[in-house]
This record gives sequence, C-alpha cells and structure tokens, in this order.
Amino acid sequence: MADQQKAEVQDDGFLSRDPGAIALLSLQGLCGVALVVGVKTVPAYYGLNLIAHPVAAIRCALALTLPTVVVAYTLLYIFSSRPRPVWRCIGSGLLSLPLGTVVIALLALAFGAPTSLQYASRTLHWAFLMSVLVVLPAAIVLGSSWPDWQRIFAFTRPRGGLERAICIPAHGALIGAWVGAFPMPLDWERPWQEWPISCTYGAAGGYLVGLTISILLQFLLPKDVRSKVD
Amino acid sequence: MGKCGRTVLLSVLGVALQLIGLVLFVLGFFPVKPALMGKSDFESAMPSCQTSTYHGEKKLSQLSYQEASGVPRQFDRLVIMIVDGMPAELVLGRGGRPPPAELVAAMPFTHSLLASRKGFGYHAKAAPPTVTMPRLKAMTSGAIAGFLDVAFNFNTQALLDDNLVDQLAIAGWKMVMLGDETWLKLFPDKFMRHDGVNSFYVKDTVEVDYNVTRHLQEELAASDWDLLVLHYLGLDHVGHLGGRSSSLVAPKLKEMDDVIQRIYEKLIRSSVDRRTLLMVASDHGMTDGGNHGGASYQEADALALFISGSYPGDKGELESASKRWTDAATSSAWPSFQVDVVPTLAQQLGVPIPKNSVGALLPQLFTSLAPKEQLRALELNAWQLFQLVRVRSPGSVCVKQLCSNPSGGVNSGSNSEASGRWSAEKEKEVENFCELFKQATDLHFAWILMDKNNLTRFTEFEAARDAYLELLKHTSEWLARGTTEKNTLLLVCGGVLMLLSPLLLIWTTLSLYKAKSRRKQLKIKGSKFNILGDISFEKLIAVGGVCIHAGSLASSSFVEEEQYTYHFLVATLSIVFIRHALQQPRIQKDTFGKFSRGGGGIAVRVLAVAVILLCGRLLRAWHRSGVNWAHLPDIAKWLETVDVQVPITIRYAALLFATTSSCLLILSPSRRHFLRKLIACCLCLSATLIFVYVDSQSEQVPTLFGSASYPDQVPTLLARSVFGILGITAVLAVTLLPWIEPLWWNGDKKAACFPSQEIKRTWEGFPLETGVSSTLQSVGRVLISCWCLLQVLLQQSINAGPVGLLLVQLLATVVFFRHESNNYELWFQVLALQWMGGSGHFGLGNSNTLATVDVAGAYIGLSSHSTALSGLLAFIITYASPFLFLIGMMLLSSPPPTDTNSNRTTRDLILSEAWLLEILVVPCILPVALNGVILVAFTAVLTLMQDHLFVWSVFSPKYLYVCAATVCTSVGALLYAIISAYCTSIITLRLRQLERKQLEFQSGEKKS
Repeated sequence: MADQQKAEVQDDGFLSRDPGAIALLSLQGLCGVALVVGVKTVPAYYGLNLIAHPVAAIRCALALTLPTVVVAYTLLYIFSSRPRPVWRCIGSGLLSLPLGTVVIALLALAFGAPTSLQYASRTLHWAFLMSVLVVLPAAIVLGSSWPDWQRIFAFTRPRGGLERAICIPAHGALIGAWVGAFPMPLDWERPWQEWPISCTYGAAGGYLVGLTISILLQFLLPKDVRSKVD
Repeated sequence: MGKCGRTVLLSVLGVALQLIGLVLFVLGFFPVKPALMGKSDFESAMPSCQTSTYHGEKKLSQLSYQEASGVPRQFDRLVIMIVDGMPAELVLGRGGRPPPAELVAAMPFTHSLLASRKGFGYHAKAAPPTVTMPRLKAMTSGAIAGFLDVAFNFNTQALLDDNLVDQLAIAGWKMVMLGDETWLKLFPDKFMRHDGVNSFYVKDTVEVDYNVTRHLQEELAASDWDLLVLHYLGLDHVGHLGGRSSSLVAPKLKEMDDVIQRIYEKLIRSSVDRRTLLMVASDHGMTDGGNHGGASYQEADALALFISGSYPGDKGELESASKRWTDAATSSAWPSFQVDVVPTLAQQLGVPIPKNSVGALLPQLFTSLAPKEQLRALELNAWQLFQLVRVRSPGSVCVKQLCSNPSGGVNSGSNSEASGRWSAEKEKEVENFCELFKQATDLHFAWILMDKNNLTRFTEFEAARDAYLELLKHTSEWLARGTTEKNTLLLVCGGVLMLLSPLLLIWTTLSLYKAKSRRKQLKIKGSKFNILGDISFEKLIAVGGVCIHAGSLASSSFVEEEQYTYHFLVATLSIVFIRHALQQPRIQKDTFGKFSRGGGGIAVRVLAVAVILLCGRLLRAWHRSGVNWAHLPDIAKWLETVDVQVPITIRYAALLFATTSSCLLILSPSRRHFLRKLIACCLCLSATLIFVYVDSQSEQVPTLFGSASYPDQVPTLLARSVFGILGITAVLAVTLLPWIEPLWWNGDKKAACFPSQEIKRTWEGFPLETGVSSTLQSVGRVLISCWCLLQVLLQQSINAGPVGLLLVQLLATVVFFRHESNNYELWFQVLALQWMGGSGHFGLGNSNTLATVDVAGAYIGLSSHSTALSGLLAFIITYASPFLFLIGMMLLSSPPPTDTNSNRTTRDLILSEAWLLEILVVPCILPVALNGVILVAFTAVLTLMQDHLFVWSVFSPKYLYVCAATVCTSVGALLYAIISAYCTSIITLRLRQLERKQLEFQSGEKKS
C-alpha cells in the first residue's frame, strides 16, 4: 500500500499522501454512524428525541460524534502525512471548537435564528454540533495554516483525498442546514419546524451525503488523478 | 452606436411590455363587477323585468313603497350598536359549545335575552378584507366589493352606492351617530348629531368608549331620532393590545353588556309607542393575537345580534343553558353572512332593499308576520337578487325567458341558443338559479291561489318558504362569490407580454455581458489566478435565489411570511460576499509591483459585510411583519411599551444621522463647491424643519419653544415646506451637478484639477466614462439624502430607526462593492441591492396584507382630502426601502475596464464604450427584469390558484403589492434612465468644449 501512495510535495511545502479508500470508508463511515446513532438511537434509548428534547438529543450526538471525529481525523492525518505531532493536532482541533461555535452561532443569528434567551442554549448546542462537523476536522488536519483553510473554505478546491474528506462533508453539513431552514416559515404547525430541529436534520443529512460523496470519489477517481485534482 | 441604439430600444420595449401586460392581465382577471346604479325606490316593490325607464318622472312618496310592498314595517326605531372587532364566538360560542364561562358571566343580560328568545344571534361571516371601513360599507350597502374596488377605494370616503342609511334618510329618518368617525366619513351630512372618536391611539381602551357612552343618557331620553348608531372601538383596541385572551376582554364585554341593558330597559321594555329594534353587531372578528384583515374563521366571525321586544319569545319559557348552545335555531344552523343584515333590516324597517345587496333575509326574524307577508318579503328579496343576476349574466338565455314569462314554464332544454360567450359552467349556474326561482315563484303562486280560496295549509306555506330560502341562500352565495366571467383573451395576452418582458430584458443584459467578456478576453489572456470560477458560483446563487423566491410564492405561507425569504436571500448573499473577501490572498502584489499585506482589505470588507448582516438582522427583528408570528414581541413593540418618548428620541437620532451622513456624502473632501454647499444647507434646513415637525407631533409638553402646543396649521405648513425644499434640492442637484463635476483628476485621484489645469493636461484615461460614473454618484448621493429625510418625515416615529438602518446598510454595501479589490460584475451588485430593498420593505413593518399600509401617514402635509395625493404619499411610505435601493444603484460602479492610466487604444475605446453602456443600462433594466420574473411567477400562481381558499385573503393582496412594486421599479428605472442620459449628454458636451479649448491652447503654444 505504502508505495502506491505517492508522496507529493506541494507548492506550500505541505506533505501529503492520499489516504487509502478503505481507510476513508471505515473512518468516515464511523463518523457518520456516530452522528446517526448520536442523534437518533441513543436519545431514543433514554426515551428522548430531537423534536421534543433538542438540547438533550444534541448533547447525546455531541458525546458520540466529538470523540469519533477527533479519533477518525487524527488517524486519517497520521495515515497520510505527519509533519505535526499528534497532540498538536488534537489540541488545535479542540481549541478551534469554541471559536467555531461562536462564529457559527453568530451566522445562525444573522440568518434569523431567534435571539431570545430561551433559545440561546439551543442555538449554542446546535452551533457546537455544527462546529464539530465543519470546523473540527479541518482544524485537526490543517492546524492554523491560513492558505489551506482559505483553499478549502473560500475556494472549495480541496487537494487530495484527505482534504476532500474535510471539505465535502463540511460543505454538505452547511448546505444541509441552509436547506433545512426552508420549511420553518410554513404554517404546518409541526413541532419539527422549531429552530433548530429542522436545521439539525438538514445538517445531519447534508453531512451524510457529503461523507458518501467524498468516500465514493476516493473509490471512483483513478489514483493518479486523486492527488492532482484541485 | 448601432448596438447602443438596439440595447436602448430593447430595454424600453421590455419595460413597456411589462406594464402593458400587467394592465391587460389585471383588467382581465379582476373585472370590475357590474353594479346597478341609482337607488332602490318604490319600483322594487313591484317586481318586473323592466328596468326603470321612467326614473324621476313619478316621484312617489315612501308611503307608496310601504303600501306596494305588502310587508308591514315591524319597527319604528333602530339602534345599531357596533362593537368593533368582537368575534361572535365570544358571545355565541362555537360549534355547539358555549364561550368560556368567564365571558358568559361577563354578559349576563345579553345571555338572558338570548335564552328567552328576545334576541337572535348570528355568526355573520364577514368577507375579507376584515377591516372596519369595507365592512361598514358591506353592512350598509349589502354589496361585497370586487377586489379591485377594495384596492381603489382604499381610503375613499363617502359611500356612493345605494345603502341602508341613504334609504332611511329618504324615508325621512333622523339619525344620530356616536363612536368611530368612519361613519361620518362614509355618510357625511346624514347625521343630525354626532360625536366621532378616532381609532388613532390604539393604547386607549377606556376613553374611546367612554366618549360614546357619556352621550347615552341624553340620547336615550331624546325622542327626536329614529336611527342611533353607536360604534364602540374599545374591544378592537383591547384585541390589538393583548389579543383574545387579554384580561381586559371580560371587563370590556361587561361594559358592552351594561350598554345593551340600558338601551333595552329604556327603549324596548318601557317604550310602547315606538317599536325599537336593537342590533348589536361587530364589523369583524380578531385572531388570537388580536389582529384582523384576513379571511380566517376567527377574523371573519362577526356578530349580528337582533334584540327586540316583539320577537315571539318562543313559548315564553327559558330554555336550559345546555340546550341553547346546541339548539339549531339560535346560532349555527343558519350560516349567515354579514350582508344578510341589509335585506333583513330593510324589510323590517319598511324601506327598499339597496340595489346591490347580495344578502338573503334571515327568516327567523320574520316569524311574527302573517304567512302572506313572510312570503312577500322573501319574494321581494328574490326579485332584488334577480336584478343583480340579470346584470351579472347579460347573455344568459334562461334569464331572458324568465323575464318574458316569469311564472310560465322555463324550457330548460333550450340552452342550445346560448351564445358562445357563455361558458357551460356559468350557464349551468344561471340555469340552476332560474330553476330555483321558477320553483319558488310557482309554489308561491299556488299558495296565493289557495289562500284566496281559504284552502291554505301550513305545509304549502312551508314548501313555498323553503323554496324561497333555498333560492335566496343559493343566489346570495353565488353573487357573493362574484364569479364574473374572466376575459380569457386579455388574460392570455397580458400573460404572454409579461413573460416576454423579463426574457427580453435578461437577453439584453446577457448580450451586453457577452460582448464585454469577448472583448475582455481579447485584451487579457486569462490569467492563472482568475476569479472566473467563483463568478459562476455567484451566478448559481443569483439564479438559484431568484428561482427559489419565485417558486416559494406558490405557497400561501411563503407569501404571508415573505420577509423570511428575503432576509434569508440577503444573508446568503452576505455569505457569498464573505467568501469572496476571504479569497483575497494575504500577501499580494499591488499595482506598483510591490508586495503588500492584503489583510486590511479583508478586514474592511468583512467588516462591511458584518454591518450589512447586523443591519439586516435588526431590520428583521424591528417589525415581525407577516401573519402567523406577527403577534410575537419585536423591537418596535418593545420600544413602544418602554416609553412614549423612546421612539421619538430614536427619530431624532435617525434624523441627525441622516443629515450628518448626507452632508458628509455631499461634501466629501475633494469636491467642495458652492453648489454642494448650497445643497447641504438645503438639507440641513429641511432637517431642522422636520425636527420642529416631529416636536409638534410628539405631544411633549412643553414643546421646544416653550409654548404649550403648536397652532393647528403649523405641522401641515412644516411638512409642505419640507416637501418643497427637498424637491427643489433634488431637481437642483440633478440639473446642475453634471455641470460642476470635475472631469480631470490628478494622478493620486484625490484632488480635482481646476479648469486652468485641465487644459494643460494631456488626454489620458476615459474622461467620459469616469465622468459619467462619478456624476451619477454625486447625483445619487443627493437623491438618497433627500429620500431618507423625506422618509424620516413621513414614516411613523417607530420606523425612523429602520430608515437609519437601511441607510447604513446601503452605504455599507456600496463601500463593500466599491472596495478596490472587489471585482463584482454590475449585475450582481444590482441584484444584491434589489434583494436588500425587498428585505428592507418588510423591515419597515410592511407585509403582504393590506392591513399594514400606513394610511395615517398619507395625510401629512395635506390640509384637504385628495385621493391622488394621499395615495402618492402612501405609496412613497410603503415603497420607501425598494426605492431607496433603486436610487442607491446610482452609487454603484462596475469594475473599470482597464487601467485608466494607460494610453488609449482602439480596443480600449470599444471596451470602455461597453463599460459605459453597462453602467447606463444594467441598473436600469435589471431591476425591471427581476421584478418581471417575480411578476410572471406570481401571475402564474394567481391564475392557477384562483379557486384556492386563500385567493382573496393571501394571493390577491400580494398581487396588488406585486403590481405596486412593478410601478415602483418602473419609476425607478425611468428616473435612472433620464438622469443617466442627461448626465451623459452634459458630460459629452463639456468634454467637447474642453477639447476645443485644448486645441486652441495647443495651437496658441505652437504659434508662440
């Protein structure tokens, strides 16, 4: 396996090998399973659900997703390249979480999330979950490298399988949450139209779709194209 | 120049097509209902098909109607007591269930009347819009206005149609009115005594009603009136403040109950010489939140309660309470309409039924009459409705046959003669009517024959009566629905023209850009770090956003809550902006080839976007707008509860901010000129006048100038002088600014050269293009300032905050777009401003229901009523935000085609021409095109949904807003076109002069 993974020194000196498709499948699949189990199964076990108890359900999801994402992306990082020590990866990932939460919560407010205090806890929990899905993987793998962040989030041009594995699910979650807000003004008077339930569902759905796409691409793209795709 | 001419031609064609198509469609879709002119007179007592040809020749006294009609009048006096906004549910319960116990307890007397059958209560369903004035019109004329009538007569005053009050006046009744002054507006000069209160201060729930009740003592004692109208506004105010569940509701009902008791004791129980009828009615209901205007059950559930001593008292026994609520006769079994009140009252009071009334008699109120009289009353009502049917279906065969042979057989199989104009469905409706009519008249005729021979049995009477009732119910509902034939040809023509317009305009825009990009490619071979990839992302967002918005209009919820869609679109755009700003490399080569940190650029742009987002969020939170969540707290409601002075203080702050920023904009450092100073002075002067105006309106005592209050005329004069000054300033700026705009700039772009220097400089750059662009900006700044100041004057105090926020948002957007490292295409900038304008529209408290139009503001500065002027003011107030952003497009600029410092080549020349064309044309036609997309989409929705439940309450009002937005956009485009054409011609002229001077100068130099 190792000789097939071509090491490639890129313009900015970032050393990157393509993670194997199997590794991506198993690790990213783990993240997806953790999210689904965390949002749906575990709360159901305790007699909770996202619609009636959004905060509790999101907490369950966080409890499962956060460690899984940390482990999965750290492992992916180790498999592909290793210019930084592991503890720094995890450290920068965990440091990025509060920052990501604040930024995402502010964006949610700007998009129209309710500002009243009774929703503050829900907004923060949702933002924390979003930041685990969107910011954390990038922070673990990219650290504080501005050009890499810029390439992935401002240009959406991931290079290589590892960056695709960060970029596509993150964008999937963001777009999913964006789409998830559509039904909120409808007058169906369903409980799931409440903030942030439909957005959580949307984000989870988008994230899963993103995971699938990034894994599929890793399987489908020919190996030599994989690392050259920009 | 051929291309230029073609573009202009296509643009004009596109805009014109849109307007023409809209007019055609509206005429086809909302036909003005054919209405009968004139007033009902004694002829209506002599049913026949002849239209009144001998009008005015025979003027018989009212007595002859009485005699001719054969229906004795049951009452000599009428008291109409309107309890504004009272849902019938609160008194009569709903669906067989009584109202909550505390509400029953609040109205003990009324409920005892209902229980003893001295009163009959109806759920009188009101037609939308459930707002006081149209409802009062319906309750007196019996006509349900067509939708366009409602729109056109939004604040017309006197009711000119045939109506009950006029009929009573003809009959010589003397009238007294106490309460809502809407009555006085509707029926000027009809009331011999009146005390009008207005509904202006919604917070007052006590005074308004006290002002009515305080006259009650003397009016009840007086015997000189025949009609007494009491209109209590208190309950409506209670609803607006706290909704249905407000703790003030029960005490208010108790107050109303006391009034009913007083009237009953004084006039009905004790007075024997004059039979008096008391009608307690409400004009409309209210939602749980206390709002009204729409067509929901809660809003439409109005009350009609007839109380009199002469009702049969039904076996004289009190029914058990439980039976009463489920009893068929009292309430829900006869679903009645608000307009049913009109024929009922007319027949009971012995006056002809108003001509355009579509109501049906309420039969329970006529049971005390003899069978003959009952049938006669029903017959008269049937004939009156028949006249309406005749007018509505002029081509119908069966109506003609019915006319030629009223009681003879109608050959129902003869519809083969029906001309092609009549759709089968419609003819079926009319035939159905004819059939019922024939049946009823036949039964009636048979009954009369038997009655003459004293052979009558009750069953025959019942059969005839039921046939009539069936006929009346059917016809009334059919007429109320108002399914007048839509003109298909007009609809199709209008639709096609409207569809063509945005296609044409978008095609023009696209071809403009195609030409531009082709030329650009010639010039610069695509560099490595091109943003082209990202521009396609913008296209995606733009096209996707427009499609999502247009598609969302198919859902009634998204129409009601359109503010969320707009806000979401603007927020999404902001994300695009942020993304774009973050794409800027941190270290970049600037134009001088030196490396510099670009971080500053990122910070400025992200900051600008943050300001845009913050303003947008505040605007959305300022007014909740919409329908479903309108009752939830928002900033405006909160500020109003904190203190009366707070909104006024904010208004002062907004005024100060608008003035300061205007002056700063106009006197930007490099462009000091006498004219600019003059304009700034004018703006400051008008700001001062507005300041005094606000003070005069604030009811703050003492006022700024120490006196207790201002003379009455002062606010009007102040407002007028502000209109004048702002108008003159705008005209002055548009006409003169192009003459003084500096055309030549020193290299550092900071200081303008003076004419003497201009001559010495060599040609460089594109003086025409940059000149036109900067002139448009200067003019735009002045116009924006004028518009904002005007809005601070016209809008309610609470809206001054949003006006300021809109200005900040616009300026932040312009700062963002004009930042030198941005290279957004102009079409994208125009789109962004268009969406922000739409978003701000809702931030100013507007919604897609007619209830939010600020009619009060439409009288500022007007001393006498003028529909045209107040309509214009209402339009200016409502479309403040879209128009502000349309003017704001003058501040935009497209990324310049090439470095202005390089020498001109032919290719540059062509390129710069295309650039100029873009600046001149795109902000003009793209808003119209975008508006056209929405217009076409919503037209399609309206056509498809014309049988939808919400068509009158949701889709039609929105269509009026869409039409008004079309007018607003077209006016904006026209203004932009005129100003830009004028600026271009003036700048061209000046450049020619300069060129000549320069030539002279050069030749002079050569000679020397």
